[in-house]
Amino acid sequence: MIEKHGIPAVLLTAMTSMALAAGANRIRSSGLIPHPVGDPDRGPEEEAAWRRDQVGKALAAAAATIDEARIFADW
Amino acid sequence: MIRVVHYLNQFFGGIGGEDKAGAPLQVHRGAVGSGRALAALLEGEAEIVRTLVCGDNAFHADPEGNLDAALAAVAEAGADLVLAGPAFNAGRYGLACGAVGAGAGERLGIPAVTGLYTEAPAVDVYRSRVVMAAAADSAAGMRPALEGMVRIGLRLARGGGLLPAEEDGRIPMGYRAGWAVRTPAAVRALDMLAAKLSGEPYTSEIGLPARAEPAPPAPAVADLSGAVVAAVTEGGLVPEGNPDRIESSGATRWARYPVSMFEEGGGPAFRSVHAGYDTRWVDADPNRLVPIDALRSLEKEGVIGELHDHVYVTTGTGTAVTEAERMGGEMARRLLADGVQAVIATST
Repeated sequence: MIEKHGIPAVLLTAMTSMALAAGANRIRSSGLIPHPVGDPDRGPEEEAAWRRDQVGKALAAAAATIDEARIFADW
Repeated sequence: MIRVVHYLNQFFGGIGGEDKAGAPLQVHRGAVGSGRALAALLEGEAEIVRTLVCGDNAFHADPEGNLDAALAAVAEAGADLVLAGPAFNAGRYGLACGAVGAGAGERLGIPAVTGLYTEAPAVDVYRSRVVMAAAADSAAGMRPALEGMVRIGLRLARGGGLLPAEEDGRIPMGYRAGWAVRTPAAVRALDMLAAKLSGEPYTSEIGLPARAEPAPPAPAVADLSGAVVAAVTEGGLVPEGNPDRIESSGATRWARYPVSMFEEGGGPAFRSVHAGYDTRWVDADPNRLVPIDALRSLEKEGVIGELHDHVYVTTGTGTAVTEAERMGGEMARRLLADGVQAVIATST
C-alpha cells in the first residue's frame, strides 16, 4: 500500500517468495525469519556493520527504477 | 418427508423480468417456476411445501420487513429446510437469498442452503452465515447448482453435517473444522513434496486468503542523499506494556513511535508482541527488526538525507488482507504528509 501511494518501500525479509506473493514490489533477502536485519552469531560490532550493509543495499533498491515486482539479489 | 421452503426472485418465480422487480413478496403453495426442476430432484425424499417469490427491488426496499414476512411463512409451513435460489452471480437476488438463508438458520434454527457464483457480491456478505453451494455465473448452470443445493440441503435436514467445502461443492465459509485423518502430517507433507518434484498434481491443505491487489511499483527515489527515509515493520515491536494494544495476531491496529524512544536510554524497553515468530533475538536488540542504528549511520555518512523521526509498527500474522490494506493505506498517507520519500520495511 505504501508503494501504491507512490513511496518506494523496500522490504527486507528472509521470506522473499511470500513477500512477492503478498504484493511487495521491492524485496531484498535478508537475515533469518525471526531477525531480518540481525545476525546474532556475529559479535555486536560485526553485526552492526553487516546490518548497515544490508540496509545500504536495500536503499539502493529504493533508488532503482523497476517495471514490476522484483527480488533484488546481491550486486 | 422433508418439508422444503423455496425462495425465488420475480424472474425465476415466473412473474416477469426487470419490469416486475417491484413485485411484493408472495407465498405460494407447492413448487413455482424454476422450483419445478428442484421438486423433480427432491422427489421421494422431500417436498416443496411453499415457494416465496419476491421482486429484486421490492425485497431491498424493505429488507427487514420482507425478511420478517418470509421467515414467518417458513415457520408457518413447518419447514425442515430452506433452499434459496440459486442466484448465480446476481447482486440483489443473491443478497436476498443470503438474508433469507441466514435468517432461517439464525432465527428459526432451520438449515438453509443457497447457490451462488464464487464472486457474487452476496458471497462476501453472507459466506460465514449461510451454506452456499458453488454455482456457475449464469442460469446455464441451473441443474448442477440445484443438484449441489439438494445434496447438501438434504444432508443438513437429516441432521448431518458439512463436509470440507471442496468435497461438498460449497463456497468456503471462512472457518476451519478439525477432523481426524489417518495419515500423519509429516507423511502427507512428504507425499505432497514427492508429487511436486515429479510434476504431479497435489493440493495444499492450507487455503490462501484473498490476495492483495497488486500495486504498480512506485517511482525510484531520485536523490537518496537528500531523501527522508522511514522505518516500517510488521514485526510487532512495541514499548513495554503495549500502550496501543496492538494485537499479537490478526492485527487491526498500528502505531508509530518516536525514534528517540529507541535511541535514548531510560525509556521503556521495546518488545515484540508478534505471535508468529520467536522474538527473543529482537527483544534482546530491536535493531535486528527495525534497523535504527544502521539508518542513523547511513544518515551520518550522507547516504540518506534524514532518518524520519517515527517508526511505524503493526503485527503481520493472521492479519486479514483487507485490514492490512487499510492499515497500509493509513500509514502511507501519514508518511506522505510527513514528507517521507522512501521506506525501509522489515517482515518476519
